[in-house]
Amino acid sequence: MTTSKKRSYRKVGPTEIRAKHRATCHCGAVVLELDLPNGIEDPRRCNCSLCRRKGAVVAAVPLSGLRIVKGGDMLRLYRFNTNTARHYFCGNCGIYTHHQRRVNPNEYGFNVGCLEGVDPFDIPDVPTSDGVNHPADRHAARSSA
Amino acid sequence: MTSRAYEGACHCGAIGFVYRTALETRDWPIRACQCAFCRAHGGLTTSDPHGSLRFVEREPSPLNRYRFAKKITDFLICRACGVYVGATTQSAGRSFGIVNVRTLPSMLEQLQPPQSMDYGAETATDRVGRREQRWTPIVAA
Repeated sequence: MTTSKKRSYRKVGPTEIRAKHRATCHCGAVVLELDLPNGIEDPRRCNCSLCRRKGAVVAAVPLSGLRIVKGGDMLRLYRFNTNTARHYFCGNCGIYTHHQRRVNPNEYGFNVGCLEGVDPFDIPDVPTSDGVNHPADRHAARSSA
Repeated sequence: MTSRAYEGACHCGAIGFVYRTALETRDWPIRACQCAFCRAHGGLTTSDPHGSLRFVEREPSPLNRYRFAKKITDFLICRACGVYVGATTQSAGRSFGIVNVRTLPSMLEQLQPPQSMDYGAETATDRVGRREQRWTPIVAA
């Protein structure tokens, strides 16, 4: 197994990442507040069947590090495959805002492109996670072998 | 040149499209628009003014037509899974569209790297004119 050093970003382009940073969908109906005391940690893309269609750059926070400030009633939930992960998006503009992760249900992944002032294209060489061969599936395969 | 049909869809399959073009996949123009909507959706779009495009709704209720800014474009989003599949606009009684190539995931590796596009300074007239030149004519089923 290869390991790569986790990277964190306290500044992206002109924007400083604040310890409490707001994130919004496109139409502004949904507003989140994220705890990012160490900046954006380990941003990634994912090649699973959903993420390939969404193309988002994602980073994670503990469940306690994400608060819905506005628009909880606008969020729609999508689940598929094992129905473990909970993928949320704005019911008006469709933007994926966050998801409760399957690999670690104690964390939310969030859309880096929703952070106020952050252009995900300013993050160089974002690695891609192998969501096709999901870590949870690999673990299950080993357990049943 | 003979055209080929490419069928894309959102993740849950409720909405999709049939895009016909004679362009080889490696020659498709791939655009990464830098507006806030496209960035947050990770949109990568293509079109062919000599091709044809038809959007397909397998269930009517999941299609969300989202409009913003100049409000001259319908951005087609699935209400069930949230995937952005493409956009349409009208001009002089005709419809034109683009598709988000992320909804053709098996083809992504064959496509050229995206060009970064910034249309922020366009007027509405400029925008319609550009789309008449570049976007794909919409055809009826």
